[in-house]
This record gives sequence, C-alpha cells and structure tokens, in this order.
Amino acid sequence: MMSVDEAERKFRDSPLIIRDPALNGYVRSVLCKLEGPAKCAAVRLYLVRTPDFNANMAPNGAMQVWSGLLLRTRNEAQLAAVLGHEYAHYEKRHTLALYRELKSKSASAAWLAMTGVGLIAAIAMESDFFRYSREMEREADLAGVEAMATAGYDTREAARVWEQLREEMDATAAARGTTSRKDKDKGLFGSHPPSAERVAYLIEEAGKMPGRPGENGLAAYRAGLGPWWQLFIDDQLKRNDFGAAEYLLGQLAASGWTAELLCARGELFRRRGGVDDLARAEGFYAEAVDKVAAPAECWRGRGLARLKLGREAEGRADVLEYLRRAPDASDRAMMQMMAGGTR
Amino acid sequence: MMRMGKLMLAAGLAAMPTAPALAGWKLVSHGAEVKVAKSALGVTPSEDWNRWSTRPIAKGEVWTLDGAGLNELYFVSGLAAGETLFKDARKKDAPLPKLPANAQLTDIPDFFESSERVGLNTSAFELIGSEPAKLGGRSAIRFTYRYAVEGSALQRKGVATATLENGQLTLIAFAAPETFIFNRDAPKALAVMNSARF
Amino acid sequence: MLKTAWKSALLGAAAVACAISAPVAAKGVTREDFSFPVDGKLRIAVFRPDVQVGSLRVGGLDEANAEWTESARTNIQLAMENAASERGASMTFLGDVGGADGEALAAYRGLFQAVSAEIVQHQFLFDPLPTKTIPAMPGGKGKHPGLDWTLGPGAARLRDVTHADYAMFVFTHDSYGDAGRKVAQVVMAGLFGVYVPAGVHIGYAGLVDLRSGNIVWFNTNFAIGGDVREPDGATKRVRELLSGLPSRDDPEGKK
Repeated sequence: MMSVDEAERKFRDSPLIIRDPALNGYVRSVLCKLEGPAKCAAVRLYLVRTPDFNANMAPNGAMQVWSGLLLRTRNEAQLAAVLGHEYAHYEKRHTLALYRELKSKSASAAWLAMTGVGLIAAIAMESDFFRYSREMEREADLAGVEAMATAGYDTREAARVWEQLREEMDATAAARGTTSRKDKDKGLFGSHPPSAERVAYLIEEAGKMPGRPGENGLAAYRAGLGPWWQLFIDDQLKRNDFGAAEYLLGQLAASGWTAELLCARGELFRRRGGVDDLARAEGFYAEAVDKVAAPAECWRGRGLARLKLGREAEGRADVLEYLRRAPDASDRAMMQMMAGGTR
Repeated sequence: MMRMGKLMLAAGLAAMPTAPALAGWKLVSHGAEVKVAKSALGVTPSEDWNRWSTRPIAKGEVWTLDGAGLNELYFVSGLAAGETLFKDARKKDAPLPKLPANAQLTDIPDFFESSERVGLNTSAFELIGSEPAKLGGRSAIRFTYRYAVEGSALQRKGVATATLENGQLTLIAFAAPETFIFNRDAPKALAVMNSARF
Repeated sequence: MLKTAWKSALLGAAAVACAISAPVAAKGVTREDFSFPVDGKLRIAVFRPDVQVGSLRVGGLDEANAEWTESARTNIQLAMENAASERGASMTFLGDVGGADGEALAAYRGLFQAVSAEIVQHQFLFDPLPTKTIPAMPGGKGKHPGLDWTLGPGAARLRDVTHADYAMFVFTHDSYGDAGRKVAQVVMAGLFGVYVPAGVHIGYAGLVDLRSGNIVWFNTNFAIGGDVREPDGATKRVRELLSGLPSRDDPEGKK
C-alpha cells in the first residue's frame, strides 16, 4: 500500500497533528484495553486538531482520530465504541475491500484524497472514500460492541454516540432554521451515517452483551483529555455553529456547570450578539465569576457584554478586573482603552 | 503540493467547473494614492503591488507582491452588518459568520478569526495580540495572528488593521508564510495600512 | 469541496495550458544573470522527490500500483543521478532528517511548495504579475515575465544541514487511469470541447541557490513524457523535467 504510505508521510508533518504525548498515550491506552497490547502497539495513531466528528483507519495501520470526535464522545466507553469500530474495519480488511471496489463513480474523489493534499478535507467532503457498505458498518459496530464488552465497558454507550450526533444535527438545524440532516447519509457524517437503524441494532446488541453496566470511564476520560478539553471547546465555539455548540455545552455540563463551561456559554451568546443574547451572556458570566477559580476571561466577557448593554461603569470595572487578573493578557492595550484608562 | 490564496480559491470554486481561476493582475504603482475596494478608502503604497482584477466579494480587493499564497493583502471597505468577510462559498455546510449589528472594535478579531477558521477549514488559528491603532485617522484595532492549513507544513502569520464607522467594517489584512516572507513584507503592508485615508 | 474543487481547477488550468501552448512549458526558466560558479565541486541536495503514480484505475487501488510508485521513485532517482553527473554535478538524495534540522527542512519544503504554486500560476499559466514583468532579451518580442522568487537568505540553514550549494525539489504526478482523464475531460469538454488524451502527467522541478535562497531555475510541464514505471521512461521524464537546466559548459541551458 505504497500510496497510502506516501499520504501518511505528508500527513505526518501537518501542523494539525496533536503531538502531546499525554493525550496520545491516553487514546492509545483505550485502544490497548480493547485490542490487547500486541495489536495496539502496531497501530500508528494520529490525533488531528480538526473540529469534526471523525475517525478512520487506513489499510496500512494508520489510524486518525479527530479532535471533534474527542469533544463529542462523552466518556471512555463511547471513545472505546468508536475505536473498536474503526479497528474492526481494519482487521476485517474492509478498507482494503473498499479500495478494490472503488469504481469510476468515486475514483476521482479517492484519487484526490490520495494525493495527500487536503487529505482531511477530501475525506470530510468526499466521504465516498470511506463509505462502507451497510453490511460492513454493521459488522464493525457489532465487533466494536463485543470488544467493549470484553474490555469491561458499559456497551449501552455505543448507541449513545450516534443518538448524540442525531441530537446535535437537530440542534444545528434548529438554530439555522433549516431541516435536520440526520437521516441524510451525506455530509460530514457521511462515512458513518448516524441512522436510526444503527441506534436500534446497537441497543439490541448491548442487551445481549451488556459488558459491565455503569462502567463508562467518565472520570478517566475527563482526566485523559486534561487541558485539551478547553481548547476543543474553543475550536467548536469558533465554528459559527451556534446550535451544535449550545447542544455540546449542555452535554458537557450534564454533571454540573463548571466556571469554564459557563464562561464558554457566555462567549457563545455574546458573540451572537443580539440584545437578548447579551443579557443571557451576562447571566452566564455572572454565574461563572461566582465560582472558585473562574478564568479571568469571564470578567473580560462580562465587561464587554455590559459595555454593549450600555452599562458603562459596571462594564469598565469588569474589564479592569480582567486586567488585574491577567496582567500579561495579549489584548491588554485594547482592553485598557475599553476600560477608559491608560494606566 | 501547491495551493492558492484562500480568496482565489473561493473565486475558483465559484467559477467551477467551467473555468480555471485565471483572472489577471493589474499594476498598482508606488507613490500615488489609489482608491480601493470600490470605496472612498484611499491608500498610497510605498512600492509596486499587483491588484487582482477579480473581486473576491463586492466590497473586497486583493493585492499581492509575489502571488497570493506568498503575500496577500486583503482590503474590505464598508462591510455592513449581516455581510460575510469572504464569499460564503459553502453556505449550506459551513456558513461564514455574519458581521454583527452592534459590533465594536474588540469584536473584530473574533469575527475575523471565526471567518478564517470556517473559510480555511482549520483549527490551527491563533490570535497573537491586539492593540489600539488608527486607520485613516479613525480609531482602529490592529491585531496579529498565526495559522496553518491542513495539507501543508507551512505556518502563516498575519497582521490586520480594522475600523468601524456607522457599524460598517473597513479592514486591511496581510498574511504571508512565517518563514522569511512575513518579516520581509509586513513593513510594506503596514506602510499601506498607515497611508489609508477616507 | 473547497480544496478538491481547487485542485480540479488547477488540473483544468494545466490542461488548458498544455492544449493552447505546450511549447511554453517545454523548457525551464532561469533567473536573470544566473550561472553556476566556474570552479569547485557542484553539490546539489535533492529533497525526497514527490512521486505519485496513478494509484487508481478501474478495479481500484492494488499492490501493483504500489510497485509502480516504488519503482518510479527508484527509476527517477537513478535517472537524476545520471543527469547530474552528465552535467558535472553531484546529487545527494536526502533521507529522513529528524529533530530541529528536520523541522527546518519541512518548513522550507513547505515554503518551496507555496512558491512553486505561484511560479506555475504566474510564470507558466498565462497569469503574469505586472511587477514581475521585465523587458525581453535583445531580439525577443515584447515582454516576458522574469523568474524572480526567493526563499530568503535563511535557506543557508539548509546548506549547513545538507552540505550542498544548491537544493533541488522535484514533483511528478501521473495518473494512468480513468481518474485523471475524467477531471481533465470534464474541464476541457466544458471549455473548448477538446479531446484530452488519457491520464494526467504533470511535473515540476526547481533549483534553489542555498546561499541566497533564490530560485535560480524552474521548470514545469503539464504533458510530460516518459513512463516512470520503466527505467527508460524515467530517463526521458527526468530529461524533460531538467530541460533547460543550465550547466557549466552550457550556461544558458540550450542543450
């Protein structure tokens, strides 16, 4: 598979590859729990900083996991469901079969992808490349559930991954005033359509192979993602997809709103910028700054929101508080101007 | 392999599949004031530039020294609330953010960052810093940034100056590879920004 | 769609260029006043050639294509080494370099690729930049664009890493199957109703002076000959790619 190797060679140098040993080590450890140390050691794992939900594994053993996926799987069991699924595609040589079966219809897309230029984009946009047949998807799903059960995870989490994606697509559509694309097998999730059928058979399968109910590895997952968590949330906030961001923040806050999450929600509403949005943003920031160890940016955000709402004195005070808490802020001069002082 | 400036890319997309994006460049001579982006904004460059004869958006204009992938100077003048910074080429799948109605100068780096992230389909975008500045005598914000796009090992750096008047955005942004080109050409781009007059 | 559409546009442009004016791309362009120094050893470091051979045909990607790419890489390297020694130069092919040196090489490789894209567009594809248009040589007609691009003096870092005076970058891309033909055909049929021969065979090569960082020579060809899967074909390919590359006894690259 020389051509795949060539693509990987280019890909390796990409500035989008996350090289942090801790995060790479954590994701690999989940794969190792599922597949055992020998198989897992042979996988070349690439974490890619790109905010879409995707993972894939090429026939040469190179696995990509995108940061948008790590933001969207809620716990270790859900991550395990996806990794087990992708590994099954690889082990059952589905991808290889896919290469062989490519006909002229999708050949140009695959060819473009294989040049290594825009490999991520090509896969995202031309998802024909990794479009498995329904049978292959089902086979990989079931193998994933089996691996989860053997490793001792709660297998019900597998169906949740796809349910969440469907809910997110609904949220995006609602905020944009468009029709949800959850039942269209095109677009970003094209390689893995989150169909209702898939959710149904995964629930059924989890009934047969429950694994260890309740064992979802939530704490391990939170610890494993560590400081990247905040960065992935930030990447999502800047995508201009209000509905998805609001949905994901709600999901992340399932076990309680932290100062960081409240602040992020404030940013989301402040940036949309309607008058109602600003008032709501101010409320979220206010809740955030009441919590212990709130980030300095919460005061910045509240100050800017208050200034826009015409509450000059309070706004300036917040901005000054931000500068006091973050004396080395990169926007210091600009914020000093907003605070009306030149100190 | 090769890649074009993002604005040309969007224009090429608009023209596909019937024509490649070869539109022609016109000389902008140094030392004389020229109006840009079909507006009252005038700038006086300190050296010769090339102006792309295609407008990336109705209120935009692109200049370059060596090709837009190497040094791209992007002018936007009078962008109104609800309009996008670049051509909204993937409106359905990845719509670009619209300029908010009540924008303030401190909102512009966020608006710019989000537009670039969506337009270039990248998360490798980082605002480095911002400070108060002037553009054509008006209060402005100047900010610097760094970004990379997938498929290339190249890091690019940028500097932009923006001002708002009656809610309308005027912005001049310069971007170039961080290796050598940015440091060589940023002073030329800043000279253009500093020469702006309304 | 963003990048894939752009790529199609480039291939379309390439097809247009070769259809309306193949001769332009036949020989490379040399930077004004460039010539190799008359004495001393000429050492050229070659960055890992970017070689791809039609990985898709009807029937899909298979081991046979992997062999094509592998043999093409070997053939091209051999042919280039021969071509260099004919010109009295030595070529060293760079292997994988790690650490800070590796990062510097990757950064300059990226910069060279960005510069290449601009040279191809503005020098070879009829989209000249007015600031780069210089008066024609005596006896020439009108104006012609001059080769005036540089990676900057920081490229001397590559000189320290490679111990060479010049760096060469090579790219060839072949698609023998339906895939390339399809892209080109759609564009050409849409534009001119022109028949396009099967496959895409494009390549470019550039030479960088590692003291100044200047691109001193560049060539690209959108209908390049030679079947790189065979040693003879690779020799033909390399001859066409390096066509017009100056040498000491032929400073203007006429041979």
